[in-house]
Amino acid sequence: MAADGPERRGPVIVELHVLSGRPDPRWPLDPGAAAALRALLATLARADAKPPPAPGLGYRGFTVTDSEAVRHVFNGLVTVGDVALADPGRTVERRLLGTLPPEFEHLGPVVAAALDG
Amino acid sequence: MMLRVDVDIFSGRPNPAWVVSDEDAAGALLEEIAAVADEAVGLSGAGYGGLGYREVVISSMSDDESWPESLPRTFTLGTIGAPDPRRSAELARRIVADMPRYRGFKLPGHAETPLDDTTRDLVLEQMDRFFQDPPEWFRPPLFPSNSLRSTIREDEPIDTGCFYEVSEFNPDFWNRPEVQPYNNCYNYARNYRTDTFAQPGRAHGAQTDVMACPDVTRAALADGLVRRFDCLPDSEYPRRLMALVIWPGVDYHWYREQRGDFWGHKPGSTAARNYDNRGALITDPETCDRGGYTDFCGYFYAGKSVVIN
Repeated sequence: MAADGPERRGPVIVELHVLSGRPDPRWPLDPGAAAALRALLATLARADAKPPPAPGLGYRGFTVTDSEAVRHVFNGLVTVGDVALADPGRTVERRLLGTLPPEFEHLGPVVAAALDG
Repeated sequence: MMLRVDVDIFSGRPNPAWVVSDEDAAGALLEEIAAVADEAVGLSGAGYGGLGYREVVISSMSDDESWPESLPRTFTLGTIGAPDPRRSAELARRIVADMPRYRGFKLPGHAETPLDDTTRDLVLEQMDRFFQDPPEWFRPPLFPSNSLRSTIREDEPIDTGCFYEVSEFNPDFWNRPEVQPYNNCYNYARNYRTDTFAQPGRAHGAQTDVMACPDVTRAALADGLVRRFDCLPDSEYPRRLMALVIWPGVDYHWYREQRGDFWGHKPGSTAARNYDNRGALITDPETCDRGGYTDFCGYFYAGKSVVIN
């Protein structure tokens, strides 16, 4: 993410990929959470690994979309197109899970268990 | 009015055929048959198709006869294709018994198959034998040719007489950028692309937020699905076999049986596939790895008239 002011970047939308029948939850990040996420992403090093295939049913990661990029976050990797960043502690996924709105809180333990599994 | 009668019984020689030329008798007969059409009448070719006695075909002699609305202009009696074959046989037997009365009206086949007592008695004897122990007979329904689709008869563990269709696994249809994100497991299992991430019951004002077997089942039934073994007629072709599972309190998921004895599914906006969470081919949706979707709700047919949104 470029170092422009937040007002230049527009909203950051997070989507949690976990459901099959019902639509996956989507929510916007508040400016503070978006800034914290950008700072965290800036600390990650490039990785050679490719993301593993997600399971069909259950937790399959997050997508973070803003005016600059669509980032896929799953299993300790953040990918943008062909570029991957390593996040072995799955910090980004946990940070995103922490922004889960109250109406989706029943999904929190499910994702947390997948992250710790 | 006159009626033509053909007894479908022979293979080499001409079938016994005659015309009920007594107009009053023909009218009365047609009226009597029309009154019990729902029980006794079948369609030509829908019953037994093997060697020996098969059915009695009744047809009109001209295209402008007044005709009962409840009867097609060609229909069958004495057929196991009728809803009540015994009732159908009783009517047919009476018509055959009158055969010699109409030998005066000549038809081309009468030289080889005369309308005499011998022919009548032979037909009556064969009919009686046939209906004492009607043969098991399955005639595959006649559907438009489709190389991607086959019809399955439900005969295990018991022969229910239900039919449904299985399709060739065709994930490429679903896994395109303009399709994949907008169609979910319900779209895939029903085999109906709506681009609306279809929800059970939504098309009929019966959607539920309760993620439990009874509630999602109720919503799906409102869309027109029926429980397995509640046979769908051929008019509902193509009929899909679907399976519903539930992640208790969270979500639902559907599978569809494919041609080749395996099942396909499309988890949410992800790609359509035929393997489970362990990567194994899904041969049984009840025992495959379904992650958190632990509750198996059952199987359903979705016929042509099922509308989802």
